[in-house]
Amino acid sequence: MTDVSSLHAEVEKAAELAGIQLNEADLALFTEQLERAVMSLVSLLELDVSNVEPTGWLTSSSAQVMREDEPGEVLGTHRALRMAPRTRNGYVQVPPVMKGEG
Amino acid sequence: MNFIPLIGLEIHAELATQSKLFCSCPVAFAHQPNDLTCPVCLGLPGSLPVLNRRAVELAVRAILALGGEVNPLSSFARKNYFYPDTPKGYQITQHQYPLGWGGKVLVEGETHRQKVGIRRIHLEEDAAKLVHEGAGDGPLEQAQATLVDYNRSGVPLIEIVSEAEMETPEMAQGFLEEVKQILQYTGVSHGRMEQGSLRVDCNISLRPEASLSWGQRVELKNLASSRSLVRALHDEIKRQEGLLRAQEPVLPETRHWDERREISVALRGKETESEYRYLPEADLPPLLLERSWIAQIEANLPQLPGARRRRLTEQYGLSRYAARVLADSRSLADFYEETVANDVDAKLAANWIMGELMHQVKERRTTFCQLPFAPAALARLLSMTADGTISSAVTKKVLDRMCKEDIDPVEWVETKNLTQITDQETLSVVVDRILKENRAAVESFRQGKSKALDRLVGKVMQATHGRAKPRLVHVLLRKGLARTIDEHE
Amino acid sequence: MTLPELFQLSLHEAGQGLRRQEFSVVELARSYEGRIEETEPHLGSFIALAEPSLSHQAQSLGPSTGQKHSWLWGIPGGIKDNICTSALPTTCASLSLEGFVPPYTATVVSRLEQAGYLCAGKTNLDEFAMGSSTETSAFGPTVNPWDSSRVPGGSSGGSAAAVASGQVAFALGSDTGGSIRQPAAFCGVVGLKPTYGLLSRYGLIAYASSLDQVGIFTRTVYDAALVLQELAAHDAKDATSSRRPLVRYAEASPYDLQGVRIGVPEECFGLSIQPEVSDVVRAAIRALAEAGAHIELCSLPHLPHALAVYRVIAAAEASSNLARFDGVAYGQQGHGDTVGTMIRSGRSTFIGDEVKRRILLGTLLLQRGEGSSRYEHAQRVRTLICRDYERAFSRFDVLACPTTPTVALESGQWADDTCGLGEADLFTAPVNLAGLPAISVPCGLSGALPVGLQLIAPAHKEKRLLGVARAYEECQPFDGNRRGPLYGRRR
Repeated sequence: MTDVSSLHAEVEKAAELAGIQLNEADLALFTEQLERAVMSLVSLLELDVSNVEPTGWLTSSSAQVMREDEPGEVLGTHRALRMAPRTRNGYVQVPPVMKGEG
Repeated sequence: MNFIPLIGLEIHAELATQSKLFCSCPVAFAHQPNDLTCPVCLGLPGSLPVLNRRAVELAVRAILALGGEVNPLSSFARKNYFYPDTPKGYQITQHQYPLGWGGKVLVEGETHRQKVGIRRIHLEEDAAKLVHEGAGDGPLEQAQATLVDYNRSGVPLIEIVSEAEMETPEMAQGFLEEVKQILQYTGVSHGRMEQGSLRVDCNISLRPEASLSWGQRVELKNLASSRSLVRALHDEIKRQEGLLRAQEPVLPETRHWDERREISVALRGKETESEYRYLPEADLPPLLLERSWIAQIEANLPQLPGARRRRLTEQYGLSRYAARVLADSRSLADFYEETVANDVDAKLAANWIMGELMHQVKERRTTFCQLPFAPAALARLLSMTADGTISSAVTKKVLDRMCKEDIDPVEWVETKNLTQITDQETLSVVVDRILKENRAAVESFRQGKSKALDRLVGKVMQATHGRAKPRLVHVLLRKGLARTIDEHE
Repeated sequence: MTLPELFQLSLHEAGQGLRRQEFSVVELARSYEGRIEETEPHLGSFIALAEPSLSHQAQSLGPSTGQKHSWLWGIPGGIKDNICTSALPTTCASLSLEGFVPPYTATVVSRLEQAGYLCAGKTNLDEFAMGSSTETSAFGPTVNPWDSSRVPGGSSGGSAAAVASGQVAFALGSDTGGSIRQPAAFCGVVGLKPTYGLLSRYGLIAYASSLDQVGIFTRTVYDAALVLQELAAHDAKDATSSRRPLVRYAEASPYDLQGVRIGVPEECFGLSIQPEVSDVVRAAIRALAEAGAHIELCSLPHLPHALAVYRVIAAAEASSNLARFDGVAYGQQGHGDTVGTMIRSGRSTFIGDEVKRRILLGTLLLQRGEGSSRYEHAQRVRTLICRDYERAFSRFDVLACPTTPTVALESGQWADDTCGLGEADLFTAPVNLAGLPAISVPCGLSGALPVGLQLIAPAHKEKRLLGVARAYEECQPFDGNRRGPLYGRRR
């Protein structure tokens, strides 16, 4: 956990998973800042709580209440697409998932 | 060196609900894109999921029908990944505490019989549908743009994960078909692979016959039908065997089955389990089910396809083949049993339903429930067939008519004067005339071509509008032919 | 003595004036409009002011029906800009949502609308509610109305400043680790964070779903009770919404402190607290004792771990909650020749650095080790913190402690507070971990800046909490309002 070079790689991986682009300078700065954050958690993570149940839900006193299977109001295509940056023929449009080689 | 494959399936089935899993948008196939959407299924910020009770009920029903155990306490989790079909950046699914686990499905085929285990069954939401514009049927790389339709976003699914214990592609297909039938029987899912309401992924690894250690597991996706499942698996077995023989490594990867080219292509950038960063879904409290509710769902389960097939063979003496065909859907099996309940010979009814009626249903693109007549009417028709009142040819004609309009078969036969002609004298006159008018056929029969006899039978039936009793026509024709041949010689 | 301006009246006083027809809704609205016009240029409390204006909204309310309408009828309020409104853009103070107008309105806002409140506008916050100073807002900071060189606290700094300066009679905020109580303390107003699940979260843009709760800023405790009463109801659109029967929170009769057992967690007066803040809070607690309450020291032994637990849980949940800002179906879109590069470029361009850091921290924590083990570890320690409170509440009716370890800090000091490493949330975040109700009440000045007393009650004991807070307010009238920005005139 104190190994900065491995943290650097972890932050790089986290950035990829979190959909965030970082240039080298940002990555270095963020790694340094995140290192402090991670270090501040060390004593927490050293607590032995293996025999304690995790808090799941604060509303656990009551189980989940379900709704009935009744179709309700929809926004409709027009209102749904009004917020979209790009649309086409009633669809939301984005660049292709993969890039062709030619 | 021989190799033994080991196959496991992941089946995703859309649940037959009216509304989506976490919002009240209607569920419909082939609708105007993005019409059935709201803040929840568009993943708008601030929106929250609320669970559909019916979806839970159907999932519980599926678990029980597949012989599994329902967890009285399950919970939801978030599976985090970026893809344009996932508007929240995560899918709400079940991870640590799925709704169901265990279960076994008996798969019986011509050559195989195996109980295939089920590892887990859980509830989750479907993703939006992507259209890769410009790719056609070709590879994804050719797409110019991706179009997103959120109508499917949030549709309830169950994921059924089998144990990896099937050894042939045919076994995997049998398992898929059996599960599909169970889901359809229980009304859990429409199970239409062609519409995507049932989807299947599979994983497969090989081991050399002489070895105990299994090779790398490869996942196959985009299998559009049970036929493509079989083809893709055969192809993959061949591919892995080739690699193993050449002593090249099998990579742990996900491959996309290209339906048109009938090959699989490795997908890039697939997340590993830890990359999904599963997290408890704090917006949904734990799902605590009352045991009495589960018991009630279990009590209301219909007879399942396996039991139904057994009943059809044991109770009506049908062949295993006939039982399989007739138990294909609950509505067909019900139709058959109701017909037989009206005092008709079970095998006669089976033959007519499996033959002519199924043909009609297919031709008319309808279903057994939508036919304009009740099983009782079919029973009245077949009773006339059984006691010789009408011939098979007439039976077929009347049945054809019954599929078109609501007629009573008995009245129709009477008013249209279609009863079978069994009177020998009447038929002799017709037979003599036909023999006179068809000298050429008589001549070929004389030369030993027995097919000519069929032609003459057809002529007689035609002349009597199908009413002649076929066996009598045969007897009379043979007699007549013998006479004319005698005369000739 | 000169009559107060209408905007200086408390919500309850203004409501009474309207009921007695001492002035009209339009007159009340105009008074607030004037105050906003006067103060907004240097405060920056709002990201967007309402269209149509307050007085136009007041005109369309129609004539007063006397006693029949809600206490909020005709009363101007502000809405933190992470709560969805279909009439105004909702941005979370982030460029990624610039210009985003949701097609729906949050349940809490719908309830205010039904009550006939007037919307003054959307108030400023730290981007995506991540911060303690309202300085990370992409649309500029809000300043503390007591001292323009200081921050108003955060993340609901805009709401706190607006209520403190008389721009609105009340405001909604959200509290994940102290985002209501801390700015309330810094700005000398009342800030109430109800029990988790009491107010609907439908339409509140999530930061950390298991901690977030909508809450209320007012100038008096009684006002907070009036607003709470209007908002608390089960919401079928929020599966975590409480289904308990409705409670009347605003009681006319005063709360009797005689025999009320108040615990004072000793951990809260440790090293980190400014001595002057400690003194002011101790004095406030003495006042409670003099009014008849039984005061005793108590211990919350796991409190020292609370901030770390809070950081893990908040960051992990945030990393998931903020994944939806990908620019596909709404929001600002990046560019790229594949959808992946488009999403990455958009998120990198339009999300601010502090938010990125917390997303990265959360992602890092969730991806490390097997599954979500670090998150789960924090959730186990969270259980210990919940138990600490349970044990304390077996002996005490409420707990009392400082809201914050310091008074409002100078602007710019928070630049170093990356990933919430500062200690602004030291006394407030543990309350969110346990989902408890808590309130910050102004209790005096340290120098020329207000200090907040935090009272904490068991889950769903808002009525007790508000009762004790109001009794305190009455037994030691802190004249912050008259000495502070509400009566202050700039220029």
